[in-house]
Amino acid sequence: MASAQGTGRSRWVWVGIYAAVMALLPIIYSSNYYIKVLVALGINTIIVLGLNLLMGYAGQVSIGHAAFYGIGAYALAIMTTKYGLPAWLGIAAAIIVGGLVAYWIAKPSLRLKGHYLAMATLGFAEIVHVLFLELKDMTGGTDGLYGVPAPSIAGFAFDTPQKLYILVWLVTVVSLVLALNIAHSRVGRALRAVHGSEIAAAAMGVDTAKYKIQVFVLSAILASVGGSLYVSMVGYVSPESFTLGVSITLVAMVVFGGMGNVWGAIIGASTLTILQEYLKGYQDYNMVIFGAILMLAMVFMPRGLIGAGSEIISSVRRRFADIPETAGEENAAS
Amino acid sequence: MPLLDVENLKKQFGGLTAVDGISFRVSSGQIKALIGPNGAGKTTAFNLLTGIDAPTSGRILFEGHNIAGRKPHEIAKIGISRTFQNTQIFANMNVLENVMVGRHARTRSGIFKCMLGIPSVRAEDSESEEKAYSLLGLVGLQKKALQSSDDLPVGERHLLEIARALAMEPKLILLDEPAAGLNNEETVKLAETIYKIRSDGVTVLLVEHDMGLVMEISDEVVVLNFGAKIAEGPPLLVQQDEQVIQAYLGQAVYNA
Amino acid sequence: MQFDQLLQFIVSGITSGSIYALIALGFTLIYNSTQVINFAQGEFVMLGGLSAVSLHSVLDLPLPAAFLLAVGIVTIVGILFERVAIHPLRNSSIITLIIVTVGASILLKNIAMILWGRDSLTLPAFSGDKPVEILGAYITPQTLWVIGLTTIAVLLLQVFYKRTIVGKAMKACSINQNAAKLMGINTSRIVLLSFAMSAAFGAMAGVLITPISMISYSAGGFLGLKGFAGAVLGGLGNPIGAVVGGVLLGVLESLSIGFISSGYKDAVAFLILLLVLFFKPSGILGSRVKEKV
Repeated sequence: MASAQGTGRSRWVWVGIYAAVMALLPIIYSSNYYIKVLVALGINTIIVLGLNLLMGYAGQVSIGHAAFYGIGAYALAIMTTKYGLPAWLGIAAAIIVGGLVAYWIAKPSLRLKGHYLAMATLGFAEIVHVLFLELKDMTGGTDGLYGVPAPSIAGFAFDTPQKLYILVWLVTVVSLVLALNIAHSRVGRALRAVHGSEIAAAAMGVDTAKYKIQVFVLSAILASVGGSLYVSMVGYVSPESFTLGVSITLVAMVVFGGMGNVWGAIIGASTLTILQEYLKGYQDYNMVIFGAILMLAMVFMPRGLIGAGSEIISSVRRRFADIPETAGEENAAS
Repeated sequence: MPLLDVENLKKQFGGLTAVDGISFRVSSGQIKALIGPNGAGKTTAFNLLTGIDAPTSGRILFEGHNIAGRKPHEIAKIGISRTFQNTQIFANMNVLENVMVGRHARTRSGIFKCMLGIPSVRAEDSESEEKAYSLLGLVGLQKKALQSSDDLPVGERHLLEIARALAMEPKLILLDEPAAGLNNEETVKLAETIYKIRSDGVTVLLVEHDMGLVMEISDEVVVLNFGAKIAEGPPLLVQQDEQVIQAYLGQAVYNA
Repeated sequence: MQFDQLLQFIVSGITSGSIYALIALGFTLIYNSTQVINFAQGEFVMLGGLSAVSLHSVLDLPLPAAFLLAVGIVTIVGILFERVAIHPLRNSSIITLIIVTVGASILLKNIAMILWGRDSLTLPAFSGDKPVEILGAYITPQTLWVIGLTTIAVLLLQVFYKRTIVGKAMKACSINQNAAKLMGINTSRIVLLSFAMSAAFGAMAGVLITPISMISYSAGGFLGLKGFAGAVLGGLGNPIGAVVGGVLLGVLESLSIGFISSGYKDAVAFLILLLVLFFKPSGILGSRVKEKV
């Protein structure tokens, strides 16, 4: 596992390559449409990076992250359209509100295990969704809120898709670096220990409750930031963007890419976002194909794209290595 | 003052009394064994000492402070470490990383520092890695450091757990049936490892079914039966105790 | 609130609760044999309802025949689903299997949209629409059908568990799959059977609810969610718990429409679910399983 994610310096080479590719893409695909797809891709990547730390590393499943995505979006929309505050304050509010709500719900929820935790996060997200619909004075009900201004920093307004993409690109790369740092640290190992054996983790001095709450809050903050970037791009917000289906799609991105691997999150979010966008051309058959692909992908790549990739690499290596024993060791080490 | 002083420790699960008011002491530098037939309450006693279960009553004094009912991670930080009878390795990590988790109680970088990857975090990490490597050397698993821990056979899982438990530099280590799954040769090596642990200044309390090993390495033995202490003392004396023989006779068929 | 009004809300709650209970039972059956939460459970309900509509109104089959045939068709869908997507993955992680069921749910839902279109369709009530008055509350015959047939299904399931060899084998599998395997039980067959039964329960719920609330291709998601919530509320893995949880959820929802507002009914139901979980982390009738070390 460790070598699949790169060790030491090679990890930062990959980050550099990723950042460069993501910077070049809007130059090659420069129409507004493509830029918007890239913005959506970046936003999904930010959220899935956090969700993967929660699910893939700490082993805590959330089927409710659309709630935090929505809280971030509404926080920015309400601050700007209702109170006339500048957008950057709205993004700050998204981080604070998203984090506080997450902390508040995480404390009782994370005592639950497995499917009970999944149900609790799902139930929480459904409640938040109802609140988006029913707190009409604040949220505008079904219609939502319109006219959310683009964020600006020091007089520079991110008011075109191209300019906004710069912001999204920046946040995506920073999130990737933060996620990699956590994954390869004492805290990352503690999270994986919680996943592996909660009792043994505690016996080794890991305050399991604390870490579960911390990673939940972190993933919620990333989702809230994603939500505030989303509303900055489209300029309006309504409850239908934050349904159970969205939560499930985010989970699918984590699993599709490969759980417990930071690059898996990048790959999962990118491929599924592009796939969904590409399939829109098939109209009514769009979701039929998407569902079929999701099923087939899991049947043939149960450990996600990263898992399948590392299997292929190690089997190729085995074929080219003459001594079977060493090949076996390399396989186990990856 | 003894390192560990257990007083009238009792644990009830519903109507069942698993540990029935036992008392014993472990002095610093000792190797002490907790033995008894299956279901005597040994693992439950370990779970009480490490905070996995809270005792119904009684006191656990570690260096004079009562730790009964404290949380497992707090007890680990105070200096009590353990291994598990049904091994609890982190199957989602390689062998080296498993041991590095054991450094958790002795390192401090929080989530913010780790997120930012500041130099002090990296320094701490490479120190943990070095320490983990040398402990893998102690238990003979250095060659397998980068292998998936899920591929280890049972015996090596016990050894990995010992290395992991030592990584936190405990004052007291609790070994729960460390010889399970080891062959004779490996058991001899385990005995050497346990002596080495003691000579490094770590006190050892172990639960073990391999009587040969227990009698050879322990300074003192505590015998439990049906949750109660029936004997305590040096191995040779305990072996001749009438009650102990009685308790084990019923089991002899199974352990033969 | 008047007594008759309260009674009205409770009856309507028990009706929707019975539907949730049937769906929750479907979740429980599959959970017990595979540990998987089947996100396609709601689609079985939708397929049952829509198939019955077509069989009755397009092929002109009488209602009882359409009912049984619809259940049969969906049961076959359940069996195919298990063979094609679940069986090959029996050694994969639970989360992988759950994502497979998510994929299946998206697939079935959108195939249904292509086959039946986007409109809501309905069936005539099983025995007319003339309400019966009981203690001042008006109860439609369909309500009685829902509650009656659900009760019979639940009782039959109990008999199945207690009296038949297969039922006992299924119960054994849910308690300890490895031990069951060692006793010579064909667990792979049991998993297949649990999908078939689960699909049948779902389809039955779909046919029963269609005359009351109509059905469309997109109804599965919401019904599945309620069924899952009911199963967890009662204690995942316990069939009686599934029924209790499902009915309770329906009644809570209905009362919150009566006492608060219809917009908040889902919020109230889920809030109570959360509170139950926070105080009893394994549901109302769930047993706490401790990890052994």
